[in-house]
Formats: sequence, C-alpha cells, structure tokens
Amino acid sequence: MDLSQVYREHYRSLVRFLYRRIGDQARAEDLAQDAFVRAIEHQPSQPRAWLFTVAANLARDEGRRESVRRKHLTLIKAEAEARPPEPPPELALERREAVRQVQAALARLAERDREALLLWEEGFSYDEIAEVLGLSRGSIGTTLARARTRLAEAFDRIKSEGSEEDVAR
Amino acid sequence: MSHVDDGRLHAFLDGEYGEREHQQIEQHLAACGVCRERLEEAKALSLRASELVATLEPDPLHAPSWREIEERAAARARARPHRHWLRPSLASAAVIAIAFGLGWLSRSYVPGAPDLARPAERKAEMPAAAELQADAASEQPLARDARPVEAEQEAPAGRRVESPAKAAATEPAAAQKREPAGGLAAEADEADQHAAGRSRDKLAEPAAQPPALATKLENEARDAPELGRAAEFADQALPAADAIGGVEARKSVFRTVAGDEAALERYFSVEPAAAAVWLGAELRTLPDLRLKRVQVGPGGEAQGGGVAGLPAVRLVYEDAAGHEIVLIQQRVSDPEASGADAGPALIIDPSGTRAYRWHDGRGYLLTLIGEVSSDSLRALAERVR
Repeated sequence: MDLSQVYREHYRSLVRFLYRRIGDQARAEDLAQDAFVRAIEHQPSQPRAWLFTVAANLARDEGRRESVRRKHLTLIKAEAEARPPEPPPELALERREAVRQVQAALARLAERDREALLLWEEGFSYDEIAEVLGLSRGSIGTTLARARTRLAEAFDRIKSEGSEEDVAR
Repeated sequence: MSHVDDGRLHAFLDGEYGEREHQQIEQHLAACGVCRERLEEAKALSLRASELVATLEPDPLHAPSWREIEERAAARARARPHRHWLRPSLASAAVIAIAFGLGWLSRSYVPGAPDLARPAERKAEMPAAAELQADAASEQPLARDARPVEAEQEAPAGRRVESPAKAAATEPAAAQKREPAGGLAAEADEADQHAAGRSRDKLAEPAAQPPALATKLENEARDAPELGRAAEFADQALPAADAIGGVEARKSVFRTVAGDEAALERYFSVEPAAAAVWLGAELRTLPDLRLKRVQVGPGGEAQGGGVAGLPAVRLVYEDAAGHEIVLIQQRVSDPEASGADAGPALIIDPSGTRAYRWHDGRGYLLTLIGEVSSDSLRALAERVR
C-alpha cells in the first residue's frame, strides 16, 4: 500500500490516538510523524495496524521517560505561542476542566484497557485491536466492557471529588 | 443458554459476531429479560464512554507534507552509518579472529599472565590467592617497563567501573548508533550525553571510519602482543579475587600500552558464520526480529556484564517499534569458574536501558539489552533459541 495515502488517511487518527494517550498534542504530532518515518524504513505489509502498534509503544516509552516532563513544559509553552487564539475564557475554562477530568479518568485505567478503548474509538475492529495489543480476539469484548465501565466510574468519581472541592472553597 | 456475559454483550453491541453467534444471542435476549436490561445498560455505557473519549479532540493539526516525512526518513537513514563495508567477507572475518586470537595467545603465553580465555581451565591451574598476588607483584615491574610513566597512574583507572551509559559510549558500535527507543535521542540525560561525548571524543571510532578499518585490522594484528601485555598489566593491577573473575571489577581492563581508553571493549562486525567460529559454538538467536549486525569481541561489555576475556558475540536486532535489542552470548561451560553470576539477573541502567542476563543450561551466558520493559526482556529471553 502506498504509505503517502496511509498518511493522508490515518495521520489525524494516529495523532488523536496519541493525544488521548499522552495528553500533549504537540508531542502526539511528533510521535505520529516519527511512526510514519519508521514506516518508510520498515515498509510494513499492514501499515495501519503497524503504525498504531509503534505509536502505542512510543506512547509507553514516553510515559517512562522522566526527562519528557521537562520537554513537556517547553512544548506546552511553544504550543501556546503557536496555536490560534483561545475561545472565551469561561468556555475555555469549562472545556479545559472537562478535558482534565477525562484525561484523569483515562489515566486510572489499566494500560491495556485504555489502549483497547482508544483503538476502538479510532475505528479498529476486534481483530485489529487483538493484533495491535497482542491479545486474543475473544478477550477484546471483555477488555472493552471493563474499560468502558471503569472509565465511566472513574470520571464520576473525579467529578464528584471536584464538586466537593468547589463546595469546600 | 445461561446469561450472556459482559464481554459477549459488548461484542454483540459492537457488531463483532458472525451471523450464527449473533442469532444465538438475539434468541437468548428475546427470552431473557435480565439480559435485555443489561444490554440496554451496556448500550448506554458504550455511548457514554465514546462521548467521554470524544471530549479529547485535538486542536487543528500541524500535518507536514508527505515529502517532509520522506525527507526526515532520508535524513535518519543518512545519520546511520553505512554498514555494507562493515560486513567483511569471511576472509576478513578470519583476519579479525586471527587478530584477536593472537592477542589471546600472546597474553596466555606471557609468563605469569592468567589465561582469561579459558577460565575453567584457569581455575584448575589457579594458584592460591596469596600466590597470585605474589606473582602479580613480581610481574608488576615488567608491566611498568612496558608503560614506564603511565603504569602507576593507569593501574587504578583500570579498576574503575564505568557507569553503564558512559561505558556504552566507549563502544564503537555504540558510537555508530545508540538511539534510544522512540527516536528520542535528544532526550537523553544531558550529563550522560556530555560524558558520552567526551568518551566519543577519545575514541578512534574504527567501525565508523571505513578507510581506517583495514589499517585498524593491520594494527590489531601487529599490536596484538602489545595488547596482550597491556591486558596482563591490567590483570595484575587487580586484586587476586578480581582476577579470578569478578565481573564488575573486570570491566574496562582492556587498554593499549599507551593507556588509550579508545581500545576498551572493541567489537567488530562480521558475518554470522564467522561469529560462530569466533564463539566456537552455534549462535543463539532471536527469531522474528530484524538482525542489523553481528559483532565479535573480547567480552566484558560493561552494560549488562558478561565475562571479560571470553570470546563474545553481539547480535544487534531491531524490533517492530524500532527498539534496538542486543543479545550478547558467551560460552561458559562452568558458570562458577567464569565468575559470572549463576542466577538470572536484571540490571536497570539509570538511563532506562535494561539488561537481563542468564545461563541457559547449555553452556551459554546470555545477556539481552534493550530500552524496553523488564517484562519484554524476560519474554524475549524465553524466545532465544
């Protein structure tokens, strides 16, 4: 398959997957581009699954690297300078809070559950999720059921914790 | 039919079942009010999870052109050294083996020098520690003759155990490419990079300089006796207990007569067949990973250990995610005599690199090194064949 076509079709999806996974868009774009650079070298026969496998590995590595924290700060600063103007402050605040809460809820999931859920949301079939995560196809339904349940529970908990803090203030 | 479990309900909802299984579940749902209710809950849960995840939508993306991506790939390829010349013919490999062999032989036949290449035999012949120390003391002047000025200063340095990151940087292969996983080379700790840079500055980098290879091999053959004497000196500078085979203390003992640290722990790329000759046994390999290069050397690589002075083979692989996985193997018929640790050991470098070392029960001391998780290393270890 022509990789440039894969790039046109799946770059956004790959960035979104990485952004949801690591919470930093600039870094997600970097890693997605890195995955495509590697794909040019490896010429995988199933590029989409291969790219998301590599991206998931890169995201895991990202989480392990302490030095990334420093880079994060730099990137966030650079991103703030480069991005278009923010929406009105109250909307932006509300959105940021929602994003923070969902990110925190996702972070409470087991890595495999989180990745399965994010891959499903990117349109992956059970077969493809099983291939990327190295799981059996038969376990994907259970993994997704657990991931969905825990995400909803974690989000509710985080939200109620936030409300309690507001009341306390 | 018993109730449909959550996993099957979600798979049903997600449209992941074939016609037959789908119908079976539909039939059950038609007859089971409990499962129908659970199905509705699962629907709501699935929708809610999707809505929550959709909250995390990135801003408009920066998408470089495909041409830019290709250029980055080309730049990355250029940044890697060409290795075609590093795969010499079998004849060249034989020259390497002979060069190292000369070094070993010369070192083995220098009076009083312990034969590092045959630790098991050496153990049988090993005098008592006190005798060895006495021997070492008696041989010390000879070594000083070889290195009149540096000897006293360099002897303690020979015992220094480098940090894994620094030691890795002293390795020619490492100088070729030590890209951390994920292409995050720039994120390596600055201090380590600085140290690595300093070490690289000192290196002759034989493997990265094609024209110098032939010269280097010639020098290797010519200087082998010198190397042997230098190694002997370093051996004698170590306490007897270390000379018996303390792996940690035996790192970095290889140095030239001039005290040039560039000579530490050299590995040379060869064809796999030559590597098997060097090892004196069939190579252990990792299936399903891309083999990038095969190298031979004197062993004792600091990172992950290994027995210094025993022929070692490094197989450098790359996994699907671009992680470099190195499998180092040495033939150790008697682990105790070699001084290597008997049990499996996991070594974690502060930089994040992990090494897993074990004896396989077939006479191999194996070390896997990679910037992957400990679990991944263990899983890879099980796949070595």
